[in-house]
Amino acid sequence: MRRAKILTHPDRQASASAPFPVAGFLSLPPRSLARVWVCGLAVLLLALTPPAAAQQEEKPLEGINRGNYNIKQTFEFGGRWTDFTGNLDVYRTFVDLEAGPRLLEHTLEMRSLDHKGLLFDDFFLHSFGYGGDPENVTRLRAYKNRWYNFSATFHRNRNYWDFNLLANPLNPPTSNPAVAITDSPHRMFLVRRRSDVNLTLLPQSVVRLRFGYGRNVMEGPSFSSFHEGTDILVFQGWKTTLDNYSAGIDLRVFPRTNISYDQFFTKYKGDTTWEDRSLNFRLSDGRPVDLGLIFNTGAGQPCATPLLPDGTVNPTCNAFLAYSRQGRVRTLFPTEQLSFQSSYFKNVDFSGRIAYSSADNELVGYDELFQGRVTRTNQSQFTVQAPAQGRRVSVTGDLAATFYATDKFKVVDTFHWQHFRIPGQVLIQECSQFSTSMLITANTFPAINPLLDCPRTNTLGTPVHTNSSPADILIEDISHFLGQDTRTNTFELLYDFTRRTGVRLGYRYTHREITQRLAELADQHFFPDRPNRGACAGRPLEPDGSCRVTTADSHGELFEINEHVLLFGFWARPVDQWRVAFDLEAASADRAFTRISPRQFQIYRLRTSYRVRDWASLNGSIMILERRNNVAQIEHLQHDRSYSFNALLQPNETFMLDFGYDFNDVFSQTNICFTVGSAPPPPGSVPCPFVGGLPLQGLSFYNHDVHYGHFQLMWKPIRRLTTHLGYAVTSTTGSTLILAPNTPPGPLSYNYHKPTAGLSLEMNRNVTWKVQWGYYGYNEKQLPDVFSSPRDFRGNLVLGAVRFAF
Amino acid sequence: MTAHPIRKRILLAGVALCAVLFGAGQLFGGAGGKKSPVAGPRTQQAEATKYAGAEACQACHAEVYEKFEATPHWKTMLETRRGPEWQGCEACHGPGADHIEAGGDKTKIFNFKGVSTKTISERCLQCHLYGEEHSNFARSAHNVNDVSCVDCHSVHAAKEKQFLLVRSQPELCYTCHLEVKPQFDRPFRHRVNQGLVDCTDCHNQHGGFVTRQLRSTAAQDAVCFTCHTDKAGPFVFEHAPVKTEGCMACHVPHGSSNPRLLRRSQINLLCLECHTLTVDSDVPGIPAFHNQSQKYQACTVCHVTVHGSNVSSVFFK
Repeated sequence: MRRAKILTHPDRQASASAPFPVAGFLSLPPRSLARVWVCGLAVLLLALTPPAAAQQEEKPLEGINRGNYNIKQTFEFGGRWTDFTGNLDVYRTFVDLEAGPRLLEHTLEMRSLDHKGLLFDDFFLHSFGYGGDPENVTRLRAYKNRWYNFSATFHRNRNYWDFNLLANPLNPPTSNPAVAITDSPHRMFLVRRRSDVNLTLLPQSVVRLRFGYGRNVMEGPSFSSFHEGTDILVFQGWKTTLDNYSAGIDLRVFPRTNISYDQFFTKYKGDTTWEDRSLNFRLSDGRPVDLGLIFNTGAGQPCATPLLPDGTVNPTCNAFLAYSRQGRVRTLFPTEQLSFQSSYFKNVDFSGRIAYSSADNELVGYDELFQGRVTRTNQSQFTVQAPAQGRRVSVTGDLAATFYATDKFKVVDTFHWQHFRIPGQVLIQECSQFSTSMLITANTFPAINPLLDCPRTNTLGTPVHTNSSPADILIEDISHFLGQDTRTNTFELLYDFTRRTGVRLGYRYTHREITQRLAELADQHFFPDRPNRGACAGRPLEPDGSCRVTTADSHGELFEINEHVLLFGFWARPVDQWRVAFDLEAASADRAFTRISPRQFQIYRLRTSYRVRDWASLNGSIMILERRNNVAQIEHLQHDRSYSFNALLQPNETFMLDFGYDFNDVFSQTNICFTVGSAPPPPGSVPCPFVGGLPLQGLSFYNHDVHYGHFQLMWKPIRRLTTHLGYAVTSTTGSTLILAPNTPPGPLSYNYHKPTAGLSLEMNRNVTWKVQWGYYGYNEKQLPDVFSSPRDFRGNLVLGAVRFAF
Repeated sequence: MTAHPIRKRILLAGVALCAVLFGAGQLFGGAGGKKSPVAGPRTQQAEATKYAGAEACQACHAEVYEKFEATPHWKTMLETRRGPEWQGCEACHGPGADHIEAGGDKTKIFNFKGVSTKTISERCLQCHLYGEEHSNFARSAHNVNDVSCVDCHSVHAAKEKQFLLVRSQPELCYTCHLEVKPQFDRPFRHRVNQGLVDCTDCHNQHGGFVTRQLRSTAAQDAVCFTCHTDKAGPFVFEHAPVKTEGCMACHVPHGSSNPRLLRRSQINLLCLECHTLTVDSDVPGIPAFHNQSQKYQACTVCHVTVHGSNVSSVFFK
């Protein structure tokens, strides 16, 4: 295993290196930096820690009274040191805790002593994770009796993601050249900042006003892929922003009744861009070129001989000279919602809501450019403009009623209706140029298209097409529609035999109608040579030798599903200390929209808790989910079963032990058809009976067993010293159908160990020292594969901190 | 933006609803007769002399009162529009004068210990029933499974002060939902244990209209789009199951051993399980040249925008 420097990233591949910033402050070698942190922390602690008071009975912190407020505040800051071996990318994907100073936690609490504060009666602020942790959160709330309630949250989440098996083409080592993809082509290094602010005015009055604002921004460098001839790694500059505004009013003017109206306005902006920045090879004329992610020369990917003997790129190979794509997505979602709740009438509770939302989506300024070569079509360049619009109209209605027939018996009915429709339309305008080689400029045919003026080269002549070449000029108007109407009614009878036991029986019916429609109108202009290709086959030519054709196509479908669900539940509390709850859902539907949607499913849930003593409790649960679409040609079976146990022992404030175990068993199988070319077919494959040209059918199976164990021990041997010891381990085994030879089973079988230990020493009422150790050990139970880097890692993290409270 | 007919209808419906409720209230309303569904001190109002006031409680329960004063429930002391049965300690525990006169006889005042969970919840819902957050609690999975308000909340001994919880999230939820804890400890997971996401960010613990008590976005779409905004669309070319079956058709919501919280470790199997030609399904199968022993086993290298696209019907871009 290589020993990676977690503080800097000098050894990352230059061509696919993530352009994320390197913290200059953290560029010292880890051990030297550790010494700096330890020494600095020790000096700081010694300087700030007042002498320990003599042993005396400690009272809870009372805070400080200043003016009209009682103030309590805590600071916990420290530093983390890390020692790491293994796959840095996977460690950062799973854990991403780095070395450095941290503001671990801060709380501020202010309470008005006479409940008549000037701006607020109560104020609470809590933050954690600042200084370099991947999750930074701040929560604030304040209220002034009668006048307002205010809350705000801020989340900042650093999402480093690079698990090398995702979207990995698994280039074979027999290719020439052989290029193993060691990072995920879809890795990302994003930061999400999400904030929410909510204000309620006059919270205790019969008329309350509510206002809210939320913002969600996600941005950062990431990678994607694009297919045209070959498949390239595309730099994806991610930038999305969502703003949500809300205003609402609650009316409680009628006895035991609340009516609310809410207005939401949501605005989404998508400004992500894509660009090929992996031009790592060169043509003989010196121009940089990208041969893409795929290197399987035995299969002609990107071509049989991508590199010439002199090391330059074969100019007739699939490759990219340039690629870029951008377009601004703007979506507005106004939503109105009316809701109510009433228990005004004798023995009946009502609640309901109706909401209407209409989203308008627009793609503006869509611009796409490709330059390179597609061997199948001879395309050397295409440009695309594609203005698009979409809408999502949604109506949601809910109405629920509970009738209390007697003290023990009640009847509940809930009706849910949701209707959405999503029409969309795009006008694709595409201009293509064709050439037999990247070293040969494409010829421009002198024909004029009245609908679209395409870019031209300086070389007039006849383009060189293949029979598979698309139209030289394409104008395509496509309309697509997706809609669904769902109506669900749930009827339940609930009876409490005694105050210690009860049962419920119910029935739920759901009717869904799914509609899809597609309409295409295309104007295609084919230039010589081969003007009678594609849709122009057999058609008369224009005087200039080209061929124009307008094609139209439309189709649609309506898919209806009826689902019946039996509901049953039972709860009991034989003694005060012991409770048991069981519920069952058993469903049957006449159709399934997808092959893996269930026509039948059953859910069984059993939970129990037993308080052996006031200081000891046992909990257990069994959750079983069975799903089937076991019709001919599909034979889809699936189950997800969990068996869990937990015990909590806390006889006093000086000792606590919490331990538990969970076993999860997931299984799925579905018939699929596929082709593996000349590779050996997977065991059990048979000829595929379906029309479609795929030769093989096999059972796509997935087995995954997960054992999870954990314990947490807290012990205070003396009043001022608290020790913590913990361990969590996830151990999995699994298997699945492997279609590509030697495909790594990936994350199906692994061990993930996370032991922890810690000490907290209270120097006095105000100061606590803390030291914590954590270990993260991930190892996959498999031999290293030839396609990707091993994903195992081991990380030791030590945290030293001091907590001030006053 | 012009007003849409349906928006107008919603507003008219609201006005009509108010009128109907008011009229029905005049016709059918009033206390007495059959027992109210939400039994409690209000519907069986004691005489005002039976209420002693919170300051009287403080004389014996000073420590409890001091903690109560630091919680939002203290605001009930300001409830002067209605009678003493809405104020302070007696808003929950009922009239206390008899309890004081009897020298602290516990049988003379309402005690939350030893009563049924339904009784406890009904008492809390006297105040907290109204508003979207709690309006469906009576029908919620928690309530029908004998979980009361005080199983999660503690008025006098809360460990988490904002919502007066007996324990903070997610440990509180793990007490019963044992099978969820290991899911959030898997390599690929929503960061609940790290404090970034709470269980209640996605679920309404007090009940709701959506299955599994899930919340919705402001636009009444799947709660997932609250954070994963780029997947919400609407797109010109929708990947239909995303909107008809939901995100859980392909993903597990809590944590998974598989990247991107997918249900399968191999993406091609997840795709092929739907994209295989079958009777009674119009889902297109894969073309014959998609040799699964080659690059085509990585479906998303080409079919990148699987959640929907504005320009490509095969989700290339």
